[in-house]
Amino acid sequence: MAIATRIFLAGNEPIPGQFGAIAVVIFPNGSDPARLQQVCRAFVAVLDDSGEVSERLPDAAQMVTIWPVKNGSAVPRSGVVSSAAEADRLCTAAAANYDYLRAQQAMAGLPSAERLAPATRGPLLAAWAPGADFGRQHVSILRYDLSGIAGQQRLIGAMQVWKDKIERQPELWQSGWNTTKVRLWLSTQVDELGAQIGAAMKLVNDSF
Amino acid sequence: MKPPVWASTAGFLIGLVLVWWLRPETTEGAALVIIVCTALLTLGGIIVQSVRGRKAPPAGAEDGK
Repeated sequence: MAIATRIFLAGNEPIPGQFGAIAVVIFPNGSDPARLQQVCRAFVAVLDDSGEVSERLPDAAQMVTIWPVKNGSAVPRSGVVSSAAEADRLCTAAAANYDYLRAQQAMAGLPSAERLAPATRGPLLAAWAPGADFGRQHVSILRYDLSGIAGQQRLIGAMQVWKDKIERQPELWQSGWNTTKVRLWLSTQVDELGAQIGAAMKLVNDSF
Repeated sequence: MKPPVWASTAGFLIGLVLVWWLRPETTEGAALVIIVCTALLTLGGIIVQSVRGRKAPPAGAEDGK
């Protein structure tokens, strides 16, 4: 049995190796804080708290996803989030203290072809299994690029896809697609294109 | 040339189904899906109609009228 969990890990803490799998939420440098917050809210809403799961199950049963935070930040390593206001507070801090250095280190552990493409907004979710293989290139790596997904509900849906993928199909540790991923991506594209056309039409109207 | 009604209707209905499946969050997104589907199917209908029109001999051509 595998359970997808989450943890906020500060820069000076070692990456735990005893977990069944270790994943990292990787954002490119200088990402939009609002996007970080949105992704964080989805991260908190969908994935179980690692600390709580550790009390009941061995770490090897956990497929933990790390949100890297800077040293000395007030973001707690783990903890159950029980309300939307609490999630907002936590994610404001987690977004402001996101550790880009650790994210870059994690990205460096990916084969070149699997890294986040330049000029994409991210995040990229990348997981190594078993956890002891974290950062090694020639092992099974699961990746899911969320750059094409926008909107809070869609990000929650995408995080659910990630959770299902690492919980239910650990044997299929490869990039792939499913209909939900396609739907979330297409839906985002349609909204963004629609908004662009709407804005362009407003510009045309304003010029007359 | 008049676009065939069946093609426009089919495009509109497919657009509605796609909107239901995609669940866009904005009105512009939903409108875009419906407009694109209707336009594409209408265009397809026009092309099919014109191809059929070319293949079919004009009425009375065999009689030399």
